[in-house]
Amino acid sequence: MAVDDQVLVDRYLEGETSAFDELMDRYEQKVYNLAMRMTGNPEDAYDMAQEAFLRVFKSLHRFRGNSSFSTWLYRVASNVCLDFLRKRKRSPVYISIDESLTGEDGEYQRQFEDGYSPDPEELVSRVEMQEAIQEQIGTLSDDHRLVILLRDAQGRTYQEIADILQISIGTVKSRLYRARRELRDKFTAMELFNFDFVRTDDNESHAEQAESETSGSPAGVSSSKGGEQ
Amino acid sequence: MMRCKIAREELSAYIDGFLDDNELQLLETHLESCADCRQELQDLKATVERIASLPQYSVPGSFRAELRSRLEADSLPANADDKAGGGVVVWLRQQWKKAPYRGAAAACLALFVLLGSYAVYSNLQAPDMLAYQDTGPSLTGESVAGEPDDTAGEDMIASTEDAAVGATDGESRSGKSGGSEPGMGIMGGAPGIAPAPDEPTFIIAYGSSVGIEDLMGLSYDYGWKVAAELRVNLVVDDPLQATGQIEDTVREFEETGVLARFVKDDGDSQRIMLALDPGLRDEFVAKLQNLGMMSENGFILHDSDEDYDRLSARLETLKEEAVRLSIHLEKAEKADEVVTLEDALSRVETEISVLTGHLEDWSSLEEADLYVIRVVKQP
Repeated sequence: MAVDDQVLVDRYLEGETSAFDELMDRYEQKVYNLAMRMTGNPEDAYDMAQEAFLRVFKSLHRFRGNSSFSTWLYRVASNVCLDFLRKRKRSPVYISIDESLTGEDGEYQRQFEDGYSPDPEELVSRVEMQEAIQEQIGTLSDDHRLVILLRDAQGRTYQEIADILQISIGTVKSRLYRARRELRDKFTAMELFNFDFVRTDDNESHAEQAESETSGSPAGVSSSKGGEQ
Repeated sequence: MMRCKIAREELSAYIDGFLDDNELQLLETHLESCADCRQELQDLKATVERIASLPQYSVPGSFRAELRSRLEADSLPANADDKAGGGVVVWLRQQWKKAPYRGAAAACLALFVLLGSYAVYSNLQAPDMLAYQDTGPSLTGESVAGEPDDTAGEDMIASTEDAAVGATDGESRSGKSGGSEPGMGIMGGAPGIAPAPDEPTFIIAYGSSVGIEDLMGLSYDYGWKVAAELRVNLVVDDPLQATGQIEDTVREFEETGVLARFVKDDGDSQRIMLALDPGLRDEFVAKLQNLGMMSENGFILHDSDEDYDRLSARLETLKEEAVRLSIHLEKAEKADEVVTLEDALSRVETEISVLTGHLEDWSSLEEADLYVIRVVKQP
């Protein structure tokens, strides 16, 4: 059983540096990814994620655990992003997957969660599709994009989302439905449903294949299955 | 029988397993008999799957190290920003006590306020506030300790010039014209009644914790057009709640046509430009009233422990500095060295006495004091 966040928070406040790393191990990538998909580019995502963590760690001593640490963190991160987007001239958020693959020093290389790495031809289509999906997500309103990312990309529960966004559960439900429906329409228009290689649980063969192919992709190193070469 | 319209509203929650038993049964019964809704369900599921299948970006390697060093830098007892913040004000107070300089000090204070007001306005207008904030620290003066070669007068000039430069930078970066506004006059060194471009009213709270709802209430009650706050530190048990309140407040302000901008939100405090020492509050308010720039209404102020701690730390530093200077002075032999050291020591001691006074005043401040600074155009 993993240590509770609150325990780590307490340890951090007592000056234990390892607690900082443990908290970061848990949330760094989540927050960064949320920022990435909200802002649409690595530089802004970096800044927003920094800002979110700075705020949270700096006021951690005021944190009383009335809500969970993760909820609070997500809330601050969401607000940082929303605030940033409000200030920025409104433009559709667009993330090129290619861009993320060719980032400086491979820093922004994407990473397959499960080490699954398809053959090159499939990879091309897959990347194209992901690019298209991200592009469509980027055209949603900030509120819709945020709720759909929190739920479908980050796996937060309805209750958590309600707490993060300070809206009622009913609002979470209806906002999420509207966002999904909107995206469904966009995907249909883009014929995105015609692609048929969304990763599913029975993709075992792909996962095994990953071992040999992730060697060329340093971003795959933290995957759960991709391992030592 | 459930209708399609209702059923579709439920589909999204159904995917997440978020329907209660009753809803679930109704929906599933409906799905059995409705091919369209089944198709819709399938499409929504596919949509969700596609989002969930997006790859994770890895965090840049420098991320954590940078965060760590920023957190460490921030936890230092007195960061440059804050330390300098008291500088101009302290200097002003020092000069105020010296009769010959009173005119200059008053002018400087007025200028400082004008710049601050203008800066607030710029901030409100500026789409990119970070750019402006970068110039913020330059508004503030140098501390005297450790720089025995400077004179107080030079400090003042330098800080005033910095302030002007800062404000100009902020304005140009904001991309806002403002050139035709009376506000530009202050750049020419002609302090007068506040420029307040178009918007006559500012709410300024300083060195204080201000309840967001109070700020809200004031703006509604009085129908003010511009509300700006300075160094508003929230005292709350639940930062989550606080962050929400701030965001909501800003939104509500904006919706009612009130300009509001909270810059530099670091989780528990919101700041805009001016760093006025709370210890100077009464004096400051009185001067503004004399200048005809002030009307008093109400504002709930209380002071943050952090500020108190910061000033206390500063006081300790100054005391150490005084000891150090005294030791040097005893050993000094050359006449010019003695003069320099005496001068430095006297300035450190002045600041010590001012600061001590501030800290003593601190505990006597009442929470219910309400100050609103109205800035009106000169007829």
